[in-house]
Amino acid sequence: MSVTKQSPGTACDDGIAQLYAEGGLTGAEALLYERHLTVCTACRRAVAGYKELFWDLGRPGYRSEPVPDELQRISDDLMARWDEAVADNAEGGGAFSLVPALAGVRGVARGLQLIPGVSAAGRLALETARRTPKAVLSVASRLARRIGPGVRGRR
Amino acid sequence: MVDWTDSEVVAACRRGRPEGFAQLLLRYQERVYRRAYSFLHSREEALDLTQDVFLRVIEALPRFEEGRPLWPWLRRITTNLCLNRLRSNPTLVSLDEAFASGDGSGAVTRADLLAAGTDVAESALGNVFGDDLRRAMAALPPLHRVAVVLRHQEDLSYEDIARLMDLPLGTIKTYLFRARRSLRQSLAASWEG
Repeated sequence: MSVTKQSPGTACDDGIAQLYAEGGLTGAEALLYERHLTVCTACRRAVAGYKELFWDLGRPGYRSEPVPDELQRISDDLMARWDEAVADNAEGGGAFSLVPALAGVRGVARGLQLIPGVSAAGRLALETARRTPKAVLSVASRLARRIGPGVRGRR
Repeated sequence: MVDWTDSEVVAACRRGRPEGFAQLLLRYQERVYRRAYSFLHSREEALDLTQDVFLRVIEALPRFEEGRPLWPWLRRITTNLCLNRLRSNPTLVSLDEAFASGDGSGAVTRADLLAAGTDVAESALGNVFGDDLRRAMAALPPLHRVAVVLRHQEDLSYEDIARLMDLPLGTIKTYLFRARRSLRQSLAASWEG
């Protein structure tokens, strides 16, 4: 048996009763509806029913379904998957630990590009950095040839 | 145990520290399960979905912005995965709700308990009408149920629900209107038996 069948009549507008019960009407609308409620038993019953329903829907008792024991097993499986993912990341360049750092570098780089001349300077710096190891290696090998057998040989 | 903030959990996870992910599970696994259960009303489906949610989290954590709260993100993943399931299997209904054995016949009515006016009534109401409400919720069309849960348990606005469910606002209003009317009628029937 439904509430509407029990009441002297059906609610005039069930949608408005719902909106009023959840505080969804504006001030003027609510005032008008409250005047209607003083003379309409069916709508008063509907509003009371919805208020009770909304309260029940939000109460902790309703939410407290038992949590199954299997969640612990799932938790163990997930920890294992996590370890695998971290290990894979470490092998592939350590994305987990590098991502924040890379994001920071990218952010700074994006900001610097807005300053005139910085892009050109950046390209020059990159080119220099690319060539430096070759230059350093070349000087180092020349020095090594001059020193001869090396530090270990002189001891 | 020291309580971690969401930011600390995310930072630890992104550094690959297992205790960070353990904290994430400790704080949110049960909540994700409960939310999945409230959408799907099936223990097995909810367990399966909980696992899927955290597998997604493992994939996506490196891209998650530090400082953002975790629950809205987890709720979005949970809701989206649930909706995918419900859309791919619209017949998915509760497998756990023992409708056959729980017809309420012979049970005390809500009026009886309220009339008792004792503390017993409060806890009994929690159990008896919690069960009634769960049954009524399980009987709703799945997408209507998702909308009700997001509105009344997550306190989301109609607009946020529409965005989350990727449906027009008018559709959400219709779902909520029909679902709540149906719930009130079902509960009135069982309460006043």
